Amino acid sequence: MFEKFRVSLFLAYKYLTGGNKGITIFTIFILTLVFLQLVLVSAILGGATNRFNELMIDYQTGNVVIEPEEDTEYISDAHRLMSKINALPEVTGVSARIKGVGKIIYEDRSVGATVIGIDPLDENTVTKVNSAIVDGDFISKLDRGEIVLGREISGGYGALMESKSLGGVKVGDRVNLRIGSVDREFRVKGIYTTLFFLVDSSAYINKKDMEDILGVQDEAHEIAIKLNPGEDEEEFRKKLMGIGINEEIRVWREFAGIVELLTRTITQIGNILNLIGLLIAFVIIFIVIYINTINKRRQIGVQKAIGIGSNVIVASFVLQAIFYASFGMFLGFFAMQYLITPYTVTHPIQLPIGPVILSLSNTEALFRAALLFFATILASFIPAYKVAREDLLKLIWD
Amino acid sequence: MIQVKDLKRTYVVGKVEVHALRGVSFEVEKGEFLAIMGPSGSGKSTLLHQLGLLDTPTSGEIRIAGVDVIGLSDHEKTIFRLNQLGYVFQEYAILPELTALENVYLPAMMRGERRVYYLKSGIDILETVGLGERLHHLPRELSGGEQQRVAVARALVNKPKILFADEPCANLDTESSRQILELFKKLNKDLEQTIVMVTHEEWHKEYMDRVIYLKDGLIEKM
Repeated sequence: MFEKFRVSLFLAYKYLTGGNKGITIFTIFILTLVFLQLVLVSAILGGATNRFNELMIDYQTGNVVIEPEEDTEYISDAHRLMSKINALPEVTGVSARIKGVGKIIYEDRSVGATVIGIDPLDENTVTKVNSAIVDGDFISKLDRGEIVLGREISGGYGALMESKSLGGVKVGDRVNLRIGSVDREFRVKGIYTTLFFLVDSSAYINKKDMEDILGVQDEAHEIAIKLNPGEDEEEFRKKLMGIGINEEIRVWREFAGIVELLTRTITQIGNILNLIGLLIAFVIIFIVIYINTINKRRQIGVQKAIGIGSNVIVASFVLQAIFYASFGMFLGFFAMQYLITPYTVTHPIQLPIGPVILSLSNTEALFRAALLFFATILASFIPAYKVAREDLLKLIWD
Repeated sequence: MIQVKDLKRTYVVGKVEVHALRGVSFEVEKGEFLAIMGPSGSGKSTLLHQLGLLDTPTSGEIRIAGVDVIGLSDHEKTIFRLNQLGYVFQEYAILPELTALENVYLPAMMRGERRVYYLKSGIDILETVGLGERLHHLPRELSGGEQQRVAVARALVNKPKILFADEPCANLDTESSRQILELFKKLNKDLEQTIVMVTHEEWHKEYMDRVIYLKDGLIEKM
């Protein structure tokens, strides 16, 4: 077995080193591009997923969210609980939020929205919504009767759902907020966008205003917690349970259902593109090896005549193709990991969800490489096997 | 060494049957240098292909060193060719990407010999055929006669029981042809190498022990 492999390897090596260098370089170049195409979709998806995750953590949930116990509307004694959590060394910031679902009305237009009542100083330790202001300012601790709108509510500023927005509310305009039977007028203090339409479909008011509307005090619908970089959310969840917090404790991933959906959608599109890439690789390898075998018909016949087995001859062509693919994959992987991805760190790709840095996991790269490898073996085996099985006198004389 | 009985080979070309061999019987002794001669279309090459297991006869019997070779499977025939037979083709059928030495040791490598042995065998046999100075030359750097001597060396590297040569001098000038024939004669005498060679040049007969003449697929005289 090893002897046969040794001969196949020897012949493949000699064909490659003694053959047409231009064809070898061209084939490797094309396979490099095919591999890049295979991994690029995966890398963009990885980058977009990272971006979605950042948006979730930085603009919506923080790392961990505490919600009321089952069948309970509010977390009571929220201030005491916040102090308890804030004392933990893993914690960067804590923000108690009261949410009201209602309508924001401006002139003859209205939009249903979740309005979040916050203490701005606390919220700024958890999320970066205050830095996402595109017009006006974020609410401050002492503000009353002021509201900050996401662009999907205000309209304008490149809102994705412009037709369902208030149609271009400006800073300084007055809007009505109706929650239940309570109707209050608010002045628009600022408009923000994170480019993430889920976050941009909310509005922020001071917690005191929301407490007035809902008639509650020191209660919260949720407490968002920001952890120090590198802290493990699951471990922290266990720690919170360990110190006797009986409320529902959820990590940010549990709120990322829509992100999952988007990821799965992009993955499926990516799979279709990958299939096309694999077909291109298959056809290229097939043609290169087919032409190679046609040009070497007589040689193959002579090899058979002097006792070189058909399987050894087939393997020599498959090994050639494996070399093309391996070299192409190596160059593609190198270009991806050490040139293209680092380039996107300084020059991110501008997607509708914001700047995206490519992210290719080794597992994904290996999986794509395995697919290309398999396509290569099949594409080279078919023409080589076909020729090697032919009658040797036909190969020599035809 | 070789026993052939009533060997027939019929090709079907479209709807026409071509009877290339119509029933040929003869024997070849060990150490014999035999020529197969005859006009074009007489069946010389067809006969050599049957003896060399490059083709399968329509009927008849071939025994080589006591083995009924017609009954062998394709795989067994490949191994038999590798271990027992050597070939020299009309054209210089050596691989253009391989050096003279690599061309020669390829069959030995295929037999699974260790590198040190197949290198030595290759060098020795190339020295025997007078190409000791051309070991690492590619075929395109060799003359026609030298390429044919590489082919002879390759055919001999596994020490075959029989060396088959199909008009090995067809593309060579007289001087190169003589060198090849003298080489064959030397191998035949010194190593008792059995050689079966197809040729149509009458003057080649002076090197042969015996000649079989074919005509229209039958032995005319021997």
